[in-house]
Amino acid sequence: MRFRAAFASALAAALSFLPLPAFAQRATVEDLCRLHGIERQENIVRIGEAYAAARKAGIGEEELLPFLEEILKHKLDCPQMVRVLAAATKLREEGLPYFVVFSKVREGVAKEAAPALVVEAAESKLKTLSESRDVLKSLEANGYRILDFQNAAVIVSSYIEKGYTSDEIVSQIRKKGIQGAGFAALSGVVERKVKRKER
Amino acid sequence: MCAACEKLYREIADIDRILREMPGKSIEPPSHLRSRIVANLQEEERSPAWRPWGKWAAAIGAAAACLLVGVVLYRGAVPKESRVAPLPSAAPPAARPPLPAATAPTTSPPAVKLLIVREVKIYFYHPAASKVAVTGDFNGWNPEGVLLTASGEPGVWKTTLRLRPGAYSYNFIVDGNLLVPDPNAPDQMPDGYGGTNSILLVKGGNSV
Repeated sequence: MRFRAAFASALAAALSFLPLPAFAQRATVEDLCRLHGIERQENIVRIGEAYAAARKAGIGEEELLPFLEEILKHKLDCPQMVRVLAAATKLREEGLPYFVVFSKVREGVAKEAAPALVVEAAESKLKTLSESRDVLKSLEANGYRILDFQNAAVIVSSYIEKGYTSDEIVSQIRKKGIQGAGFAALSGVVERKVKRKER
Repeated sequence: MCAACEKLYREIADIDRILREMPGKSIEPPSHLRSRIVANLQEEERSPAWRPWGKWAAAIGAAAACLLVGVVLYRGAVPKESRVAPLPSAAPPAARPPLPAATAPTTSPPAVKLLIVREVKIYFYHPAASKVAVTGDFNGWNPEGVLLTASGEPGVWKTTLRLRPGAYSYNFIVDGNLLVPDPNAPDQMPDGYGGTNSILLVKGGNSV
Protein backbone atom coordinates (compact mmCIF):
# COMPACT_ATOMS: atom_id res chain seq x y z
CA MET A 1 0.00 0.00 0.00
CA ARG A 2 2.83 2.35 0.82
CA PHE A 3 4.34 1.75 -2.62
CA ARG A 4 1.02 2.30 -4.29
CA ALA A 5 0.52 5.57 -2.44
CA ALA A 6 4.05 6.71 -3.27
CA PHE A 7 3.56 5.81 -6.92
CA ALA A 8 0.25 7.61 -7.13
CA SER A 9 1.58 10.77 -5.50
CA ALA A 10 4.72 10.77 -7.69
CA LEU A 11 2.60 10.30 -10.81
CA ALA A 12 0.27 13.10 -9.77
CA ALA A 13 3.25 15.39 -9.19
CA ALA A 14 4.70 14.48 -12.60
CA LEU A 15 1.41 15.13 -14.38
CA SER A 16 1.04 18.50 -12.71
CA PHE A 17 4.31 19.65 -14.33
CA LEU A 18 3.44 18.55 -17.85
CA PRO A 19 2.37 21.22 -20.37
CA LEU A 20 -1.28 21.79 -21.01
CA PRO A 21 -2.80 19.26 -23.39
CA ALA A 22 -3.91 20.43 -26.83
CA PHE A 23 -7.57 20.72 -25.91
CA ALA A 24 -6.73 23.01 -23.00
CA GLN A 25 -4.57 25.22 -25.23
CA ARG A 26 -7.41 25.42 -27.70
CA ALA A 27 -9.68 26.59 -24.92
CA THR A 28 -7.26 29.42 -24.12
CA VAL A 29 -7.00 30.50 -27.77
CA GLU A 30 -10.74 30.28 -28.09
CA ASP A 31 -11.20 32.41 -24.98
CA LEU A 32 -8.84 35.04 -26.37
CA CYS A 33 -10.58 35.05 -29.74
CA ARG A 34 -13.99 35.49 -28.19
CA LEU A 35 -12.66 38.17 -25.86
CA HIS A 36 -11.48 40.16 -28.86
CA GLY A 37 -14.66 39.80 -30.85
CA ILE A 38 -14.08 36.77 -33.04
CA GLU A 39 -17.32 34.85 -32.76
CA ARG A 40 -17.52 32.51 -35.74
CA GLN A 41 -16.54 29.03 -34.67
CA GLU A 42 -14.89 28.17 -38.01
CA ASN A 43 -12.59 31.19 -37.65
CA ILE A 44 -11.71 30.26 -34.09
CA VAL A 45 -10.92 26.73 -35.23
CA ARG A 46 -8.64 28.01 -38.02
CA ILE A 47 -6.77 30.30 -35.66
CA GLY A 48 -6.52 27.47 -33.14
CA GLU A 49 -5.04 25.20 -35.80
CA ALA A 50 -2.48 27.81 -36.87
CA TYR A 51 -1.60 28.34 -33.23
CA ALA A 52 -1.22 24.61 -32.63
CA ALA A 53 1.01 24.31 -35.71
CA ALA A 54 3.25 27.07 -34.36
CA ARG A 55 3.44 25.35 -31.00
CA LYS A 56 4.23 22.06 -32.71
CA ALA A 57 7.02 23.74 -34.66
CA GLY A 58 8.57 24.68 -31.33
CA ILE A 59 7.49 28.23 -30.60
CA GLY A 60 6.89 28.53 -26.88
CA GLU A 61 3.51 29.37 -25.49
CA GLU A 62 5.02 32.14 -23.38
CA GLU A 63 5.85 34.03 -26.62
CA LEU A 64 2.99 32.85 -28.75
CA LEU A 65 0.04 33.63 -26.54
CA PRO A 66 0.99 37.30 -25.89
CA PHE A 67 1.73 37.67 -29.60
CA LEU A 68 -1.69 36.27 -30.49
CA GLU A 69 -3.29 38.72 -28.10
CA GLU A 70 -1.40 41.61 -29.71
CA ILE A 71 -2.56 40.74 -33.21
CA LEU A 72 -6.09 40.21 -31.94
CA LYS A 73 -5.99 43.66 -30.35
CA HIS A 74 -4.67 45.13 -33.58
CA LYS A 75 -7.77 43.77 -35.30
CA LEU A 76 -6.17 41.43 -37.79
CA ASP A 77 -8.93 39.31 -39.21
CA CYS A 78 -8.88 35.53 -39.15
CA PRO A 79 -7.10 34.90 -42.50
CA GLN A 80 -4.55 37.61 -41.66
CA MET A 81 -3.79 36.06 -38.28
CA VAL A 82 -3.44 32.64 -39.87
CA ARG A 83 -0.98 34.07 -42.44
CA VAL A 84 1.16 35.77 -39.80
CA LEU A 85 1.25 32.66 -37.61
CA ALA A 86 2.06 30.53 -40.66
CA ALA A 87 5.01 32.79 -41.54
CA ALA A 88 6.46 32.46 -38.04
CA THR A 89 5.84 28.70 -38.06
CA LYS A 90 7.60 28.24 -41.38
CA LEU A 91 10.63 30.19 -40.17
CA ARG A 92 10.77 28.16 -36.98
CA GLU A 93 10.49 24.91 -38.90
CA GLU A 94 13.41 25.93 -41.11
CA GLY A 95 15.60 26.96 -38.18
CA LEU A 96 15.38 30.63 -39.13
CA PRO A 97 14.75 33.46 -36.64
CA TYR A 98 10.98 33.45 -36.35
CA PHE A 99 11.08 36.25 -33.77
CA VAL A 100 11.84 38.66 -36.63
CA VAL A 101 8.24 38.22 -37.77
CA PHE A 102 6.98 38.93 -34.27
CA SER A 103 9.14 42.05 -34.15
CA LYS A 104 7.96 43.29 -37.54
CA VAL A 105 4.34 42.82 -36.53
CA ARG A 106 4.97 44.65 -33.26
CA GLU A 107 6.56 47.45 -35.24
CA GLY A 108 3.40 47.68 -37.31
CA VAL A 109 1.28 47.71 -34.16
CA ALA A 110 3.46 50.49 -32.66
CA LYS A 111 3.14 52.49 -35.88
CA GLU A 112 -0.59 51.81 -36.03
CA ALA A 113 -0.22 50.39 -39.54
CA ALA A 114 -3.17 48.85 -41.35
CA PRO A 115 -3.50 45.12 -40.65
CA ALA A 116 -3.05 44.30 -44.35
CA LEU A 117 0.32 46.09 -44.34
CA VAL A 118 1.34 44.25 -41.19
CA VAL A 119 0.71 40.90 -42.85
CA GLU A 120 2.60 41.96 -45.98
CA ALA A 121 5.56 43.08 -43.90
CA ALA A 122 5.58 39.80 -41.98
CA GLU A 123 5.51 37.76 -45.18
CA SER A 124 8.21 39.96 -46.67
CA LYS A 125 10.41 39.06 -43.70
CA LEU A 126 9.75 35.39 -44.38
CA LYS A 127 10.88 35.89 -47.97
CA THR A 128 14.07 37.80 -47.20
CA LEU A 129 15.04 35.41 -44.42
CA SER A 130 14.55 32.45 -46.73
CA GLU A 131 16.81 34.16 -49.27
CA SER A 132 19.38 34.89 -46.59
CA ARG A 133 19.43 31.21 -45.69
CA ASP A 134 20.34 30.45 -49.32
CA VAL A 135 23.11 33.08 -49.15
CA LEU A 136 24.54 31.51 -46.00
CA LYS A 137 24.39 28.02 -47.53
CA SER A 138 26.29 29.33 -50.57
CA LEU A 139 28.89 30.91 -48.31
CA GLU A 140 29.28 27.63 -46.45
CA ALA A 141 29.76 25.84 -49.72
CA ASN A 142 32.46 28.38 -50.60
CA GLY A 143 34.58 27.81 -47.53
CA TYR A 144 32.96 30.10 -44.97
CA ARG A 145 31.95 29.01 -41.52
CA ILE A 146 28.68 30.31 -40.09
CA LEU A 147 29.26 30.86 -36.40
CA ASP A 148 25.78 32.06 -35.57
CA PHE A 149 23.27 31.07 -38.19
CA GLN A 150 20.24 32.93 -36.86
CA ASN A 151 22.06 36.18 -36.28
CA ALA A 152 23.77 35.94 -39.65
CA ALA A 153 20.40 35.35 -41.30
CA VAL A 154 19.02 38.55 -39.75
CA ILE A 155 22.02 40.58 -40.94
CA VAL A 156 21.97 39.16 -44.46
CA SER A 157 18.24 39.78 -44.68
CA SER A 158 18.86 43.44 -43.85
CA TYR A 159 21.32 43.64 -46.77
CA ILE A 160 18.75 42.02 -49.03
CA GLU A 161 16.18 44.57 -47.90
CA LYS A 162 18.68 47.30 -48.76
CA GLY A 163 18.60 46.07 -52.34
CA TYR A 164 21.41 43.56 -52.69
CA THR A 165 20.59 40.35 -54.48
CA SER A 166 21.65 37.01 -53.03
CA ASP A 167 24.15 36.48 -55.84
CA GLU A 168 25.68 39.91 -55.33
CA ILE A 169 26.24 39.29 -51.63
CA VAL A 170 27.89 35.91 -52.22
CA SER A 171 30.05 37.02 -55.15
CA GLN A 172 31.23 40.22 -53.45
CA ILE A 173 32.14 38.40 -50.26
CA ARG A 174 34.00 35.78 -52.29
CA LYS A 175 35.91 38.43 -54.24
CA LYS A 176 36.67 40.98 -51.52
CA GLY A 177 36.09 39.23 -48.22
CA ILE A 178 33.53 40.22 -45.60
CA GLN A 179 35.13 43.50 -44.58
CA GLY A 180 36.25 44.46 -48.07
CA ALA A 181 32.82 43.89 -49.57
CA GLY A 182 31.27 46.26 -47.03
CA PHE A 183 29.39 43.63 -45.09
CA ALA A 184 31.20 44.35 -41.86
CA ALA A 185 28.21 43.48 -39.72
CA LEU A 186 28.72 39.88 -40.75
CA SER A 187 32.16 39.70 -39.22
CA GLY A 188 31.93 37.78 -36.01
CA VAL A 189 29.06 35.64 -37.21
CA VAL A 190 30.59 34.45 -40.50
CA GLU A 191 34.28 33.76 -40.97
CA ARG A 192 36.55 32.36 -43.62
CA LYS A 193 37.79 28.88 -42.88
CA VAL A 194 41.54 28.88 -42.43
CA LYS A 195 43.34 26.32 -44.58
CA ARG A 196 46.25 24.62 -42.90
CA LYS A 197 49.41 24.26 -44.87
CA GLU A 198 50.42 20.68 -45.40
CA ARG A 199 54.00 19.90 -44.54
CA MET B 1 -7.66 -25.09 40.04
CA CYS B 2 -11.08 -24.37 41.54
CA ALA B 3 -13.06 -27.09 43.29
CA ALA B 4 -15.85 -27.15 40.68
CA CYS B 5 -13.35 -27.36 37.86
CA GLU B 6 -11.52 -30.20 39.62
CA LYS B 7 -14.78 -32.10 40.04
CA LEU B 8 -15.66 -31.63 36.35
CA TYR B 9 -12.23 -32.74 35.30
CA ARG B 10 -12.49 -35.93 37.33
CA GLU B 11 -15.87 -36.78 35.85
CA ILE B 12 -14.60 -36.35 32.31
CA ALA B 13 -11.49 -38.36 33.13
CA ASP B 14 -13.67 -41.17 34.49
CA ILE B 15 -15.80 -41.21 31.34
CA ASP B 16 -12.68 -41.27 29.23
CA ARG B 17 -11.22 -44.13 31.24
CA ILE B 18 -14.44 -46.16 30.98
CA LEU B 19 -14.59 -45.60 27.23
CA ARG B 20 -10.98 -46.63 26.78
CA GLU B 21 -11.48 -49.78 28.87
CA MET B 22 -14.39 -50.98 26.75
CA PRO B 23 -12.97 -53.88 24.68
CA GLY B 24 -13.48 -54.06 20.88
CA LYS B 25 -15.27 -50.82 20.73
CA SER B 26 -13.96 -48.14 18.40
CA ILE B 27 -16.11 -45.10 17.89
CA GLU B 28 -16.07 -43.73 14.32
CA PRO B 29 -17.37 -40.24 13.55
CA PRO B 30 -20.43 -40.05 11.31
CA SER B 31 -19.49 -40.27 7.58
CA HIS B 32 -20.93 -36.85 6.68
CA LEU B 33 -19.15 -35.06 9.54
CA ARG B 34 -15.91 -34.52 7.63
CA SER B 35 -17.58 -33.21 4.48
CA ARG B 36 -19.72 -30.83 6.56
CA ILE B 37 -16.72 -29.47 8.37
CA VAL B 38 -14.79 -29.04 5.12
CA ALA B 39 -17.79 -27.39 3.48
CA ASN B 40 -18.05 -24.91 6.34
CA LEU B 41 -14.41 -23.95 6.25
CA GLN B 42 -13.79 -20.60 4.50
CA GLU B 43 -11.54 -20.93 1.52
CA GLU B 44 -8.20 -19.30 2.14
CA GLU B 45 -7.75 -16.18 0.00
CA ARG B 46 -5.24 -16.93 -2.68
CA SER B 47 -2.72 -14.29 -3.63
CA PRO B 48 -2.86 -13.27 -7.26
CA ALA B 49 0.03 -14.34 -9.43
CA TRP B 50 1.31 -10.78 -9.78
CA ARG B 51 1.32 -10.09 -6.01
CA PRO B 52 4.96 -11.07 -5.53
CA TRP B 53 5.87 -8.61 -8.32
CA GLY B 54 3.53 -5.88 -7.14
CA LYS B 55 5.97 -4.23 -4.78
CA TRP B 56 8.69 -4.21 -7.41
CA ALA B 57 6.34 -2.84 -10.06
CA ALA B 58 5.22 -0.08 -7.71
CA ALA B 59 8.79 0.76 -6.82
CA ILE B 60 9.85 0.86 -10.50
CA GLY B 61 6.81 2.99 -11.33
CA ALA B 62 7.62 5.43 -8.55
CA ALA B 63 11.22 5.65 -9.73
CA ALA B 64 10.07 6.28 -13.33
CA ALA B 65 7.67 8.95 -12.15
CA CYS B 66 10.42 10.64 -10.14
CA LEU B 67 12.66 10.54 -13.22
CA LEU B 68 9.86 12.09 -15.26
CA VAL B 69 9.45 14.82 -12.67
CA GLY B 70 13.18 15.45 -12.82
CA VAL B 71 13.12 15.71 -16.62
CA VAL B 72 10.15 18.06 -16.55
CA LEU B 73 11.79 20.24 -13.90
CA TYR B 74 15.00 20.30 -15.92
CA ARG B 75 13.11 21.28 -19.05
CA GLY B 76 11.46 24.06 -17.13
CA ALA B 77 14.79 25.33 -15.85
CA VAL B 78 16.54 25.37 -19.23
CA PRO B 79 15.77 28.35 -21.46
CA LYS B 80 13.44 27.53 -24.30
CA GLU B 81 15.81 28.42 -27.09
CA SER B 82 18.51 26.08 -25.92
CA ARG B 83 15.93 23.36 -25.55
CA VAL B 84 14.88 23.37 -29.16
CA ALA B 85 18.28 24.18 -30.63
CA PRO B 86 21.29 22.58 -29.05
CA LEU B 87 23.59 25.43 -30.03
CA PRO B 88 23.22 28.68 -28.09
CA SER B 89 21.79 31.45 -30.20
CA ALA B 90 23.07 34.97 -30.07
CA ALA B 91 20.50 36.23 -32.49
CA PRO B 92 19.12 39.63 -31.57
CA PRO B 93 16.30 39.00 -29.16
CA ALA B 94 13.42 40.80 -30.71
CA ALA B 95 11.35 41.22 -27.61
CA ARG B 96 14.20 41.30 -25.16
CA PRO B 97 15.11 44.60 -23.56
CA PRO B 98 18.75 45.63 -23.58
CA LEU B 99 20.82 44.09 -20.85
CA PRO B 100 21.01 46.09 -17.66
CA ALA B 101 24.19 48.06 -17.29
CA ALA B 102 25.12 46.47 -14.01
CA THR B 103 25.26 42.96 -15.37
CA ALA B 104 26.56 43.21 -18.92
CA PRO B 105 30.21 43.76 -19.64
CA THR B 106 31.17 46.09 -22.45
CA THR B 107 32.51 43.18 -24.41
CA SER B 108 32.68 39.60 -23.33
CA PRO B 109 36.02 37.80 -23.64
CA PRO B 110 36.95 37.27 -27.31
CA ALA B 111 37.02 33.52 -26.85
CA VAL B 112 33.25 33.44 -26.34
CA LYS B 113 32.21 34.93 -29.66
CA LEU B 114 28.52 34.14 -29.39
CA LEU B 115 28.07 36.12 -26.18
CA ILE B 116 29.55 39.39 -27.39
CA VAL B 117 27.61 42.38 -26.14
CA ARG B 118 28.48 45.82 -27.41
CA GLU B 119 27.83 49.19 -25.93
CA VAL B 120 26.24 51.46 -28.50
CA LYS B 121 25.92 55.16 -27.78
CA ILE B 122 22.89 56.81 -29.34
CA TYR B 123 22.68 60.58 -29.83
CA PHE B 124 19.74 62.53 -31.14
CA TYR B 125 19.41 66.25 -31.75
CA HIS B 126 15.95 67.65 -31.17
CA PRO B 127 15.92 70.98 -29.35
CA ALA B 128 12.12 71.24 -29.30
CA ALA B 129 11.53 67.87 -27.66
CA SER B 130 10.70 67.53 -23.99
CA LYS B 131 11.05 63.76 -23.91
CA VAL B 132 12.85 61.39 -26.29
CA ALA B 133 13.01 57.60 -26.34
CA VAL B 134 14.37 55.04 -28.78
CA THR B 135 12.53 51.88 -29.77
CA GLY B 136 13.19 49.16 -32.29
CA ASP B 137 13.90 45.51 -32.90
CA PHE B 138 16.05 45.36 -29.79
CA ASN B 139 13.08 45.86 -27.47
CA GLY B 140 10.24 44.46 -29.59
CA TRP B 141 9.16 47.97 -30.62
CA ASN B 142 8.01 48.71 -27.14
CA PRO B 143 5.89 51.88 -27.36
CA GLU B 144 7.56 53.24 -24.23
CA GLY B 145 11.05 52.74 -25.68
CA VAL B 146 14.34 53.37 -23.91
CA LEU B 147 14.48 56.91 -22.58
CA LEU B 148 17.24 59.26 -23.70
CA THR B 149 18.60 61.82 -21.27
CA ALA B 150 19.78 65.34 -21.91
CA SER B 151 23.47 65.18 -22.69
CA GLY B 152 24.36 68.65 -21.43
CA GLU B 153 24.70 70.07 -24.94
CA PRO B 154 21.60 72.10 -25.85
CA GLY B 155 19.04 69.93 -27.66
CA VAL B 156 21.19 66.80 -27.65
CA TRP B 157 19.76 63.63 -26.15
CA LYS B 158 21.74 60.49 -25.49
CA THR B 159 21.54 56.95 -24.19
CA THR B 160 23.60 53.79 -24.30
CA LEU B 161 22.25 50.46 -25.48
CA ARG B 162 23.90 47.11 -24.88
CA LEU B 163 23.34 44.96 -27.93
CA ARG B 164 24.58 41.75 -29.40
CA PRO B 165 26.00 41.85 -32.94
CA GLY B 166 23.26 42.10 -35.50
CA ALA B 167 21.09 44.41 -37.54
CA TYR B 168 18.48 46.45 -35.70
CA SER B 169 15.79 48.71 -37.08
CA TYR B 170 14.93 51.62 -34.83
CA ASN B 171 13.12 54.92 -34.53
CA PHE B 172 13.03 57.70 -32.01
CA ILE B 173 9.86 58.50 -30.10
CA VAL B 174 9.58 62.25 -29.63
CA ASP B 175 7.30 63.52 -26.88
CA GLY B 176 5.64 60.15 -26.51
CA ASN B 177 3.99 59.72 -29.86
CA LEU B 178 5.99 60.81 -32.90
CA LEU B 179 8.15 58.09 -34.45
CA VAL B 180 11.03 59.57 -36.39
CA PRO B 181 14.09 57.96 -37.99
CA ASP B 182 17.60 58.88 -36.92
CA PRO B 183 18.83 61.58 -39.32
CA ASN B 184 22.45 60.67 -38.54
CA ALA B 185 22.16 56.93 -39.16
CA PRO B 186 24.24 55.83 -42.18
CA ASP B 187 21.61 53.26 -43.11
CA GLN B 188 17.96 54.07 -43.64
CA MET B 189 15.35 51.80 -45.09
CA PRO B 190 11.62 51.94 -45.88
CA ASP B 191 9.80 50.23 -43.04
CA GLY B 192 7.04 48.72 -45.17
CA TYR B 193 4.47 50.82 -43.31
CA GLY B 194 4.97 54.02 -45.25
CA GLY B 195 7.75 55.34 -43.02
CA THR B 196 11.48 54.94 -42.64
CA ASN B 197 13.58 52.92 -40.23
CA SER B 198 17.12 53.66 -39.26
CA ILE B 199 19.36 50.62 -39.29
CA LEU B 200 21.92 50.00 -36.61
CA LEU B 201 24.54 47.42 -37.54
CA VAL B 202 26.38 46.11 -34.54
CA LYS B 203 29.56 44.46 -35.67
CA GLY B 204 30.74 41.20 -34.32
CA GLY B 205 34.27 40.00 -33.69
CA ASN B 206 36.82 42.48 -32.38
CA SER B 207 36.64 44.84 -35.28
CA VAL B 208 34.77 47.72 -33.63
